[in-house]
Amino acid sequence: MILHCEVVMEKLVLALGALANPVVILIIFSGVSAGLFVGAMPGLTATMALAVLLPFTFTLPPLLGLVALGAVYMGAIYGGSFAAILVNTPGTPSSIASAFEGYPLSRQGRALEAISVATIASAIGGIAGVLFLLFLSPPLARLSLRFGPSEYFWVAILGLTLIASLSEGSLLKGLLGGTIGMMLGTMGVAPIGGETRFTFGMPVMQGGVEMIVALIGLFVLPELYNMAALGRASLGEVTVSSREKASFWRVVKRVLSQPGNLIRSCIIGEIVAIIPGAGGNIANLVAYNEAKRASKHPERFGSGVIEGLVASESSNNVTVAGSMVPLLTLGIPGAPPDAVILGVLLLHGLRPGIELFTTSGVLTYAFIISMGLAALAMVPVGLIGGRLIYRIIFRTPYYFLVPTIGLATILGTFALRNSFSDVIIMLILGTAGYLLKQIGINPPPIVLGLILGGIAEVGYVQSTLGGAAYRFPVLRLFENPLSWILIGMVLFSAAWPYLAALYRRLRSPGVSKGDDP
Amino acid sequence: MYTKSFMVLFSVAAIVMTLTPALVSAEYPEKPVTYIISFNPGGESDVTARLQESHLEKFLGQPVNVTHKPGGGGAVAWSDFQRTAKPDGYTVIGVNIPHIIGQPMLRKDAGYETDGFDLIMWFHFTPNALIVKKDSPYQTLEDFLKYAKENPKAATVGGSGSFSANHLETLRLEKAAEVEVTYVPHTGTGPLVPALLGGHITAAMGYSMLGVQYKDQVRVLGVAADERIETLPDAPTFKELGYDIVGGAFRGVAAPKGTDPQIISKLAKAFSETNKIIAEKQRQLGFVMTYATGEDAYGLVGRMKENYEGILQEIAAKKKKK
Amino acid sequence: MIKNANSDLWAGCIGLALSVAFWFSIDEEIMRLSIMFPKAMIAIMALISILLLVKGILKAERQDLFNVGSNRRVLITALLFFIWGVAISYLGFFVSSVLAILAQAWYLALARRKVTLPTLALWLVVAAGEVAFFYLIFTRLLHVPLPKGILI
Repeated sequence: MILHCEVVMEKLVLALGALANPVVILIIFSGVSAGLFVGAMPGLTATMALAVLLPFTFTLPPLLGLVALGAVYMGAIYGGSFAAILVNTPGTPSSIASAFEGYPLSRQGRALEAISVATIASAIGGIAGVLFLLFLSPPLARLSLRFGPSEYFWVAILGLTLIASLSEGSLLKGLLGGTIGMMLGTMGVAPIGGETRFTFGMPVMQGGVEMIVALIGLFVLPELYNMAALGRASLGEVTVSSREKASFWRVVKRVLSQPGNLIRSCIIGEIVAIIPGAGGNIANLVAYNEAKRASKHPERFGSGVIEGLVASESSNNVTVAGSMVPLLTLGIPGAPPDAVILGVLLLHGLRPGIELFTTSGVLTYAFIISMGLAALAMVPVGLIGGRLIYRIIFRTPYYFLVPTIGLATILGTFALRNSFSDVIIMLILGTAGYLLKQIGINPPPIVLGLILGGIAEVGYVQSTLGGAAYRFPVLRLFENPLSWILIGMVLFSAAWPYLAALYRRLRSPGVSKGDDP
Repeated sequence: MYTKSFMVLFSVAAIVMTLTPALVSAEYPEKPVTYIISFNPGGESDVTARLQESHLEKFLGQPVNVTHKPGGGGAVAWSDFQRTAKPDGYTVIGVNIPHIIGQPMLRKDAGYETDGFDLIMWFHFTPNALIVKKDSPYQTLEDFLKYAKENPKAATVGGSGSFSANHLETLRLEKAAEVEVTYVPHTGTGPLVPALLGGHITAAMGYSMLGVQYKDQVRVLGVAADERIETLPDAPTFKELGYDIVGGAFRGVAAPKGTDPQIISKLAKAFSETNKIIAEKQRQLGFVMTYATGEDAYGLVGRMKENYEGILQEIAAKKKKK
Repeated sequence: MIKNANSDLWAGCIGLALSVAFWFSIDEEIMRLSIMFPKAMIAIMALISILLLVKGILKAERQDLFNVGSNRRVLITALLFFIWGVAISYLGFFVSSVLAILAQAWYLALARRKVTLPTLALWLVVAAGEVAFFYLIFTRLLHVPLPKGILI
């Protein structure tokens, strides 16, 4: 895909012209706001929002339709952080790691600061994604195709090594949680083989446990039960000094003061984004983990470390535009919401591929740039909205907060698949989650297992099928060079806690800080 | 005197009773109709329903609400539908062949029956097609089959799902051409594309739509249809090449069993007219339109059941043997 | 409140119980392809559970369970949630939600303050307003049909 510079520049200028239109600006702001709302509500996902918007885009001209979808998508991925920070529930699965640092910050009365940080980080991430998409699409697309079944398997295993670093406390319990999550993920129809497993005789269990249902149940319900037990809300009042720290420029300076963290998280976001089928869900966890690893004080993570929040929120917004690299160049959706966007493109007769950047070039570039504008629009919308939501939640007495959040989650769970049984499953999982938390088995490893189990299984089975003609089919997993790189990363990641401890002990003999993990 | 009033009463009652069904169905639909899609938003069933929605509303005079109930490859929605949907014509559900044939046959807990629907219409058909990457060494079907014959199990053929149209067609091809390939199931048509384009599978037995959508990047070796697809004029049919294999996925819509036949025919008419309007858009995407309503609809299910029965029973038998 | 419980032992037992439950629910007719991964997972889960049991016996990690706040409140709150969930399919979304919110708010508020009848009446209006707000957004804007029961 060789496009001459002048031609591209010309199209970019025309694209900007197409966007300099009050209607477009209006759509961007309303899209971001709507997306924010959807993202903040646990149970509503970005994909759902786009699917609902789909029929409306039929009546709009292609550019406006795409701009709307892009704005909603960008806003939704950002909005997930609100629920994560204020109520310890990721509003979308791409903000799981945001809860790890965001919520402790809230409890310390630094909620506004956290929201501001998340806003700036998300905006930067969003713009980074757009830049990747604009300038690095061709090589990134080629890289994305190299990910086959074996690579997916190793990526999933790499993700699972995160369990080790995310389990505060007992590693064994974390691993147990991970396997429980994986087993939950196996219920229903086998992705390979198509037969039903573990349905315990109920036809409705053919649908298995939907990831979002488990996410809501395992994160929200224990929190609600906690509030009930304590007899008060956990949201700390924002102190004067914290309010000052939450001011716009202070936060921008704070976020930019750690450029390494930002750059690394954005790159991680982009790499994960181009792997079809991964996306924000995985990006935020990997970026968070890397931020923790690179930090001089990893043990502080989990008590409200700004860097962790920045890593999570910037990487997940990179995936919005980032995952469109395979979509626009090859027609392959990089993340679930992209499938809806693909549908819209096809409906308007726009075929992914080189045509999209030449014949329909102006439209395409306008769309891409609009997502960058949406990222910028998130800042005012988010800061104002964030303060508003914080005030509402803070003013609400706990005895109303619990049932209201319950209402939102029950609604969201039901709306996912129009399934009443999902609501019951959510309640059961949530209650079980509360009980498991008591004995030290925490939600994050369980959810990780659920998300990654499926990917690992499909990768493993497909890969060994590919090696059907070999003496030992499983060797297929070790064939590709890309797989070797990933295996190396897995080994490194798994061994890290031990290596780090060893390193520290070598550095300062006699001062052994950490226990054996 | 007694008899006279009785006669009057009787005749009035008789007239009312004969007119009522006509009145009732003449009024239908009086409120919005719910159109359930048993798959995720954004998929082909969903996009088709969205295209149909606005035209259906015009023909029926009432809003049509498309809702989704994904899960179990459609089985969750279908089992729920057969269990709870009222046969009053206000709820219809999208149905797919071969899913509704294969699932009840192969799953113990599918929760529904193939014959448990009142079929309204089958609106289109996407024939299966054997596709390879543009730069693959196999120019024709024969090239591919030659490779498969000389290297049993080495050729990997990807498809969407297990025991789905893609899978069953691959099995039929294996039998007809006497070769052994390895079928690699994928969790949908979406993941199939990068797998094929990235060279992770030798070929894909997907739907003709893929051949059309990714025209510049793939080559279609054969299509499982009776005649060549207009949007794929260079792709031969399996029949032409000597293999009598016709099959693919059919999409249609059905009502709960016991729905008033007059309501069914009204719906069938609305869907048929809608089909004609959206035909052009769908053809461009690689669909083959069908207009199988009433008897034809059931006939189609019967025919596909026969086509796949042999293979399905072999599979069921193999399972029981264990 | 369970004091000084051996959490490793508990975790191990739960893990083992789950492994057994899953293992024995495997259909004998299922094909190898569909079940090889879960079988491996169950084996790993069982192994980890056994390791936890061993750790529980040798170097137990003891902690107090259920020692935060009022467990009774948690129980009742959970019960109300489940009743709410089930009630939706009978009373419909709107009615069951309003009642559930009222019930939970009332019960939870009792821990903090006195609840008088006028307050309850006010809360009824607030609850109805809340539910109506979400109801409208979901049914009108997002086109998600919410279950209708006996009443609304």
